[in-house]
Parts: sequence; C-alpha cells; structure tokens
Amino acid sequence: MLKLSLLAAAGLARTRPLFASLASVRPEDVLEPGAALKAGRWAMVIDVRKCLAATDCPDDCARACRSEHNVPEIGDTRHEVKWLWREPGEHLFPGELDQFRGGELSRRRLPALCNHCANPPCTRVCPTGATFSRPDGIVVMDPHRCIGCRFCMAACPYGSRSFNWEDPRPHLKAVNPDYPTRTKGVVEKCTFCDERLAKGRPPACVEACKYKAMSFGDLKDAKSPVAALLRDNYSIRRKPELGTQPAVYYVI
Amino acid sequence: MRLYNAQYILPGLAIFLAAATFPFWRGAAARSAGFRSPPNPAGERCIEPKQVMRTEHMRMLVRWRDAVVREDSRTYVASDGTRWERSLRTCVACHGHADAQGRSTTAAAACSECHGHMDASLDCWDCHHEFAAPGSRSARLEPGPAAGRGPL
Repeated sequence: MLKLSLLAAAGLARTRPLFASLASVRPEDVLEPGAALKAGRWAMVIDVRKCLAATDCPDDCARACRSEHNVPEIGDTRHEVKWLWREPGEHLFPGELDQFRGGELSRRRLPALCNHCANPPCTRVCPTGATFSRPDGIVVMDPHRCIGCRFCMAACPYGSRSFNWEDPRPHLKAVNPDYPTRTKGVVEKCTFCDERLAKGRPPACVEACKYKAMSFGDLKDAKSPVAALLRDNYSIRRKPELGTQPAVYYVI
Repeated sequence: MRLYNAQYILPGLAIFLAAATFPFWRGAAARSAGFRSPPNPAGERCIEPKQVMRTEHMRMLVRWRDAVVREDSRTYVASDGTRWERSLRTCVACHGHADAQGRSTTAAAACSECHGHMDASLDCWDCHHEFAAPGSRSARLEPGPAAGRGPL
C-alpha cells in the first residue's frame, strides 16, 4: 500500500537523476594485482584421445561445473539446465565424422559446453544486451538484464543455453554459497569460469579432470598450452561451417 | 450565487478527495505502525562511512553489479584507500550474521527491515545467497590502505 503513496509522491515530486553520481567510470584495479588470469583470446582444447582412453571416466568435469556454479539437476529433459554436459560424438559433430574418423568417436559421450564463439549468434539476437562478448572472447550472461525471451537459445547452434522454467533452488543437492543461483525466467550458460579466472584459477572442469583431457589458455599466446596442443595435433570444432568461430577445440 | 444539486456534488467531492488522497493517508497510517531499525552488522567497519552507505548503497550495488558482470572490474577502492571485493558476498559477510541481540540472521532479513517497511520488494535474494559462508570473514582485501578513490 505504501508503494501506492510512493508512486503518487513520485508523480508530484521532482526527483534527482538516479545515476547522477555515476557519470564517470573510473579505471579500476583487478581483484588482486597480478592474480587474475588475463588473455587476448581464451580458448579450450579438449583432448578427445584422452577422453576415449578413459573408459571409466567419472564425469568429473560436469560434476565440478555443476557443484561450482549451483547448476540444478532437473530430471525432466525439457527443463534441464546445461553448462557442461556430455554428448555422443555424432551429436557434437554432425556431418564431421567420416567413416574413417567415426566409429568409437561417434558413439562415446564427450564434453560439450558453450563454445564462446568469436562470432556468437546468441549475442547478436539478445534484445537487452544481457549476453555479450568480453574483449578476451568469453561470452558472458548478465542475468540481471535477461528478460527470458530465449532468442539466444534459438540462435545458439550448440544447445549451450538453458532456460530456467522453474526455480532451480529446490533441485540443488548442495549449494555453493560463493556462487549465486539463478532464478525462474532467466537463461544461463557456461561462462568459462570468469569468476575463477578473476581469482587466478583455471576453469573448474579443467581443474577437475583427472586425465588432464581439458586444457585452457590464451590462443594469442604462442607459449600457452592450448596453442601448443593445436599446433602439434589435428583438431576439429563443432559446426565450423556456420562461421561462429568456436573457441572450444577437440583434438581427435 | 447558488450551488445546484449540492446534495449530490458535495458528497461526490468528498468521495473523490478521499479516493485521490488514499495513497497518502493509507501510507501515513502504515508508517506510523512502527519501524525497527536494521540490526548492527558483524565486522568492525563498513566500506564507506555509515552516512554514505545509507544514502548511496543502492547506487553502489548497481555500480558494483555492472562493474563485475560487464566490465570484469572486481576491486573497489574506498575513499580511505581500503580495498574490497565488489560482491554481494562482501556485504553479506557482515550483514548476513546475527547481531548481538540475535536479530536478523540473514542479509535478506536485514535489508527487509527497511525495504519491507517502505513496501519496496527486493529480488536480489532470488539468486544471491543471503547467508555468509561458514567461517567467512570480512571481505576486505589486502593490501591497503593506499590513496583513496571515493564513493561507488
């Protein structure tokens, strides 16, 4: 009821501009000087050979991601929320796996996540600017601005975005208090663990894989582990024909 | 001069005035219902002086949100040079604890002492956690102090 009186008063009173004191944006320090991981272009290389060799893979990458970011496990596949998940190779690389390279690769379930495209279709269609590319290539979500229109989900050719059809909190077995949950009505996705990079830590999935199948680094740094892997090995990306320029490479 | 149909017009005017001013007197009645000030937070000091936080906390939260999510700028240098992680966790670390009287055990409860009174709904806690992590301490960063930068 007080809201009514506030609204009424707002119509009568001249109010100070809301963002008057925010006119100038100052250059700010990073969280801890020297600690944050910075890159010209973040990229991930998944060594599929190690994934295939690990016949007893306990799915640590996806588990770590879910627990780190409070990703709910909703039984209903129509409502499921995916950041990093595992998908059969034939779904990851439709038309890419020929009769020579296919076989086991097409059947086995491999890690899939947001490709953090250099030319991301999702950010182009977002009407509020809630999702955008950072200068270092990470495609991030600002859930505060998400209006839940799901254009980005329609645009993403990789199924890397999920909508919260319901409150995710009841579906969390354990809550990591250092990372927010999301709420009903917003889209979410993998963020290449930008919050961990800011504290100088690699992405949770990279850290969790005991077979060291995932590498993370700066594509523009010739000495980075991803650059070395890509230089010396044959790699493919998901749906390269779409021109999205994914930053997740699969060494096969 | 003569007012025709006064028996209709005067009660009509009275009803109109009562309805038009309804938000004000209804609000005044609700305000007089009593207000509990939010409990004192744990921790020895706030990020900016108390008076600044009282008037500017909402702008600070908006600025921090945009700085972290959109600019990857995560350190706040307060006007006295102390450095803080721009995070709602920084607020919750102190305001998410019970005070000496045991009131308001969560930051959401502390916020709602005022916001609830003003009938302003907050949706921060739909996603952000209102409890301080077990064993969490003040989120003040080292090193400090250095040259101050000032509010927000």
